[in-house]
Amino acid sequence: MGTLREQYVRLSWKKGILFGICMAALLILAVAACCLGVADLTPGRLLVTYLPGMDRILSAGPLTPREENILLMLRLPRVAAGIAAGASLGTAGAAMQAITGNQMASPFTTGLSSAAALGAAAVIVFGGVSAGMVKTATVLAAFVMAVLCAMLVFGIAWVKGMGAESLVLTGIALNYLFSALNSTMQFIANEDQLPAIVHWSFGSLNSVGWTDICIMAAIFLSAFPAVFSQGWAFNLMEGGGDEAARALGINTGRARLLTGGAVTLLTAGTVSFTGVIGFVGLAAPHIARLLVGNDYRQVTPFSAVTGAMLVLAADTLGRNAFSPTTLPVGIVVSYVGVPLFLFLILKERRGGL
Amino acid sequence: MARGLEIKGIHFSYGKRKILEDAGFAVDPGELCVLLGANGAGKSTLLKCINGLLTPARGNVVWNGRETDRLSVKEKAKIYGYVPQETGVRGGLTVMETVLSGRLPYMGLAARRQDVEKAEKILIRLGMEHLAFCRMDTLSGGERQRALIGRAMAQEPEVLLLDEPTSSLDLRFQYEVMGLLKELGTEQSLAVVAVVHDLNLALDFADQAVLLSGGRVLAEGRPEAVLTPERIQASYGIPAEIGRFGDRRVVLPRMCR
Repeated sequence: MGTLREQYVRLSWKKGILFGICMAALLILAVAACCLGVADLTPGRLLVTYLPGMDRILSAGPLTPREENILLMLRLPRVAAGIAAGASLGTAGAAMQAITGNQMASPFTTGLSSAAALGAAAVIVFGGVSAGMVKTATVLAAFVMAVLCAMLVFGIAWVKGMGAESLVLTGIALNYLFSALNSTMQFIANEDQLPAIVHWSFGSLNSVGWTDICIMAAIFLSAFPAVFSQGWAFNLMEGGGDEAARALGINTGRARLLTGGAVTLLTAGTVSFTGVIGFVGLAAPHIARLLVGNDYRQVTPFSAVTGAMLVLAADTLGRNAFSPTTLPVGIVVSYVGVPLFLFLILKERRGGL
Repeated sequence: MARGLEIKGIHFSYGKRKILEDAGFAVDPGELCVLLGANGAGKSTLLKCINGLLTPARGNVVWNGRETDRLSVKEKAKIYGYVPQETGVRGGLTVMETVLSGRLPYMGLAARRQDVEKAEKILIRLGMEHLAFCRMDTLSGGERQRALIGRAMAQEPEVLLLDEPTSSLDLRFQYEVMGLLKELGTEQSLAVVAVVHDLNLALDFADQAVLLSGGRVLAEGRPEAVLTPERIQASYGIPAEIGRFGDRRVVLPRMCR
């Protein structure tokens, strides 16, 4: 037992250690994801290749140049992209749930994913760009549309005083609008374009390269601290509404706008490269809460890690379950996440530390 | 320099609907002041105009000779502790985290040693040590109300504002919470302003009562002087008598059948 302060400090340590465990699990998952696949890579052979002196301890042979190529150009970028996408969507999900005070909110509540899909579809249908530029143009169009949509949503909410309800309602309405525009695109697309549009909306890590990953990582590294720093504001806005937060000196309108900007960058920056990966943004924050309780100072970082684990696990499974066919991660993530999510709901022991 | 809280000529309206017209009153440090009046008389609105949760169209709020209207939200949070209606609390923060969040005007993201120690002291003062790591939504209404008061105490305010602190509580907790407010006010020489519905609680605990009716202050002063049968009839629209039990007074509304 001890004094309350000692108990509080001990609890904080426990949460810190749990975070370390989650990071270690993510690392193990990442190594496993690098090794699993058609080419025969093992952790032992990775060690022998990259750690000098290991060949004297382990009997495994080093990677051949071809295998090294597979690792560096295929496996690693996928793993990095999965981690970046999952962490971004997890963080954005936690932030959205906080500023809307709604447990059902996700990064896509503001209609971002439909808007991004519309941008991508517009490039696919109307084209007008040279074959080499199609990928760049798709990414750019998706990103621009997503940001535009977010600006519309937050702009309208701002006019209405930046409350949680106006944010959610405007987001839902625009989501429908962009879905309709998207369906219109699919309707007018020819039979070559239609599969491309649909494929984009599955969400996959197939075409994410190192440059894309650097951009995603840069966005995450700059947006995460902004979201993380709002921990107390989130706690109060979700736990008792804006009045309680303002009475404690928080400018709730500014907090929502800052967070909204970060969420928009995180989400648009992810989906424009990967397509729509749903569910992570909804589930990761809930899984985080089940692990550490409801204090957003911990929920935000845990959401990033659980989001990364979820996407990485789903992508690895999608790559290997029906090998050589690769299922898009946007589909598999629900197959992996939903059972886990339901299991956690059933044995709920919130903040069970 | 004038000591205490002074609220002068507050006008407030939601759109065209006038809520407060030239409302004002004054409270000394260490005193417990209750805001009384029927539903819609403007009690909560007036309370929120004090710490700037609402911005009045006219009028000003002065604490110890200093106008606080133009201070930043953070500066106001160091002067005015606010306890919202307990029924608005959601979510699963623990009691400790809730009280600790009251330190927010003084600390950053991480709670420092002294912040946690202050929260600890408050929880002990409120007799809630055993509940420190329970989630807010597992507590009873009375416990939750005390935790919210604890959060406002962690703000180390000079003025404590409470919106209907007793209305969702049972008889015992009503008396406990009002007793607590009275003690806190005296101990730390806080000016305490609470919106209260129960006139008998006001008579038992308040040093001062402000009776609102239709957005104006109908009467201000000692509760036993303010609460006359005529004024109760005028503001609540129900006939009542004032009875005496020893030196205690009770409001007895006449039954309307």
